[in-house]
Amino acid sequence: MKQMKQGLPSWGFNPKSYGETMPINPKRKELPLKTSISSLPYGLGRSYGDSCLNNQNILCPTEFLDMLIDFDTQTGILKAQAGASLKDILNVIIPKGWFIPVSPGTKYVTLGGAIANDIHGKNHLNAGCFGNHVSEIKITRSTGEKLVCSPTTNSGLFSATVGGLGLTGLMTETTIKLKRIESKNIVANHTPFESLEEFFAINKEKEPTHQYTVAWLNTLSPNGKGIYIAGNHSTDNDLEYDNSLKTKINIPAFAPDFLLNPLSIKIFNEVYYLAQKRKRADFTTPLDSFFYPLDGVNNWNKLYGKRGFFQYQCVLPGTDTNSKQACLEMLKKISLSKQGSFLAILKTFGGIEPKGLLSFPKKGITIALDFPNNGEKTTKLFKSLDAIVREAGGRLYPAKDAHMSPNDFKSFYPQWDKMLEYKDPNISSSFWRRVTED
Amino acid sequence: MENQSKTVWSVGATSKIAIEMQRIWASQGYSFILSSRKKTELSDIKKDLLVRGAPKVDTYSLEELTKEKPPLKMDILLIALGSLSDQKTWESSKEYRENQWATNTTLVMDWIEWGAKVIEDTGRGKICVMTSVAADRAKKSNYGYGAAKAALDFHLQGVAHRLAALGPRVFILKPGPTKTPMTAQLDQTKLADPKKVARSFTSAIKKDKTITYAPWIWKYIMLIIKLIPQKIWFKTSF
Repeated sequence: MKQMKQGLPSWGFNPKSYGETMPINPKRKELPLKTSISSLPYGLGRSYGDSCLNNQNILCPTEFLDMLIDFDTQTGILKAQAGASLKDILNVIIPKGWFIPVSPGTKYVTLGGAIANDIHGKNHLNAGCFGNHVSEIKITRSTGEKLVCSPTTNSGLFSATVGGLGLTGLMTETTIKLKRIESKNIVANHTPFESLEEFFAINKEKEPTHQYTVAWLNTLSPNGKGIYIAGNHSTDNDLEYDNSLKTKINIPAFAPDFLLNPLSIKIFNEVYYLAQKRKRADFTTPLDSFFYPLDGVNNWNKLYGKRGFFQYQCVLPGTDTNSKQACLEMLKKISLSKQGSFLAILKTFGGIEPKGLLSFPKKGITIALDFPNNGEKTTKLFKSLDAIVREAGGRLYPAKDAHMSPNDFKSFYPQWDKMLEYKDPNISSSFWRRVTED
Repeated sequence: MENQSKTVWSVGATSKIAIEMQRIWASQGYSFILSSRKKTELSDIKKDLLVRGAPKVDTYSLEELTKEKPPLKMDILLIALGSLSDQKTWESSKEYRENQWATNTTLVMDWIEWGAKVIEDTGRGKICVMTSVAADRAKKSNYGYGAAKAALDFHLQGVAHRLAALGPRVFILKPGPTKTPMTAQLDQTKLADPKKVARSFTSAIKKDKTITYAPWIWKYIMLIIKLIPQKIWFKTSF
């Protein structure tokens, strides 16, 4: 086989991937039509595992397909090309008093990526997923055929495209409904907790009165220790916003592998917990600090070194004793393994049904954790966590995944075979081939 | 006078770096006259600039605009015309050389001269032209493209001299290898972010900095490259 060059990476730098990179030409707006080799649209590469990779095939960055098309400042309807980034869009919409209805943890996500992974945010209880706010998607198939889909037109294609990991075709344009805001600032509060029970008690108290809720978890504690973060948009009428200025820190190269190790992570976690613990009362913070703290460190994923890292995100259904028990079991296993990292999130999802066949959230508890790549040790840990998730009736998130088994994928997403009807025959991904054993 | 929006004339408006510069100016309230080879290629760009805050955007084909100029003020003339010539074809085909020269050099010079006259007549305006680091020293891998851009550098320096009494009016913008559709076949990892390059250029124009390399490090790279003795330079395989 011809030796291929290194392809564009995913956020965790695992698995390694090779192949051609062919950016979508902004004048032609189409995928390369090759029958012996597949292509995959690629946004900003923030998926952690292999859902944005296409090993030995072609990746098609959409960075030149980033035009804004129309923005109605009265109704908050935004039409844009799918390669437009949230970072860029926020600069235009916030000063006019609008915000994205669902925000992920980074601005470096394209509209196409937000839809393809049906992303969720800190306001899932009230807002559901990103796909719940999309009113139309224009798609160009690899044959050149142009299609339009929405919840009411070509609804089958729509539900295959939302959460569909880019497999149904090249998204060219999309229309979304934004959310009204009065300020670019967030009024937030932090509440420390030292057990999972405490977390649920605080969650019950905060969720009804706060739009945005999430907890940072100290994974080195087996009981569920962390900081509960809650926030609402301020009403101070300050809509001045410009994120195009330079980020503060840049990690220019891969850090040495030993930088993030059990000891350094332990120290970070303790210091972070003590620092954040103090902010109990309401305080005002800029939007970027609340939603996108890591964006201030360019290439933070290189801190894990060349070995890279994995993210493990699962949802455990419901908040009854079984799921709480499963959650606690997972936290104990992780803390015992001493493999955890400084980035761990705990949150509850609400009951708003997502729109996609492969959408991840369901009502229940979600945990998302980073793990340095420790080879066999990590694989073993993940297998044991998978067993807990499986037994609880939960599932894993394709956008973060690099390891779930085909059997697990098919049982986590029972509607996966409906994708086959809508999947473009000339599009594929490393993830898809892995989980469907294609 | 404060409310009267300033106008950017952009010749070769579909260039990625030009698109990013136009976006920055749109958010500052500039109006636009855009032109490119095919007028239809400008409709997406027009909508984008209007959403980003441009009060008015008019589009023309290059041919239309070169013939007939609407009587609108020129505050900035941005010329980003040009295509990356294929070196091998440059060496073997006279017709190719002539065509490349016509679009990369002759047409650009026509526009520079128009800009110079407007500035002399109205006392207002800035001529901003994208040349390239490739114009700083000839190398065997791209001297055809380099020659076309080097001619522009020289021409611009002459016009700058001509307009000197009116203050800084001529701005030479030198991008290093940047991620654009034009460089799609090059190694993507070594290419600069066009948004950052655009920010450097618009900032330089605002501060009246007449020659700008972006990313800035290219200024020093080319300084060193220009100093390498010929004997050693010829041994390299750039």
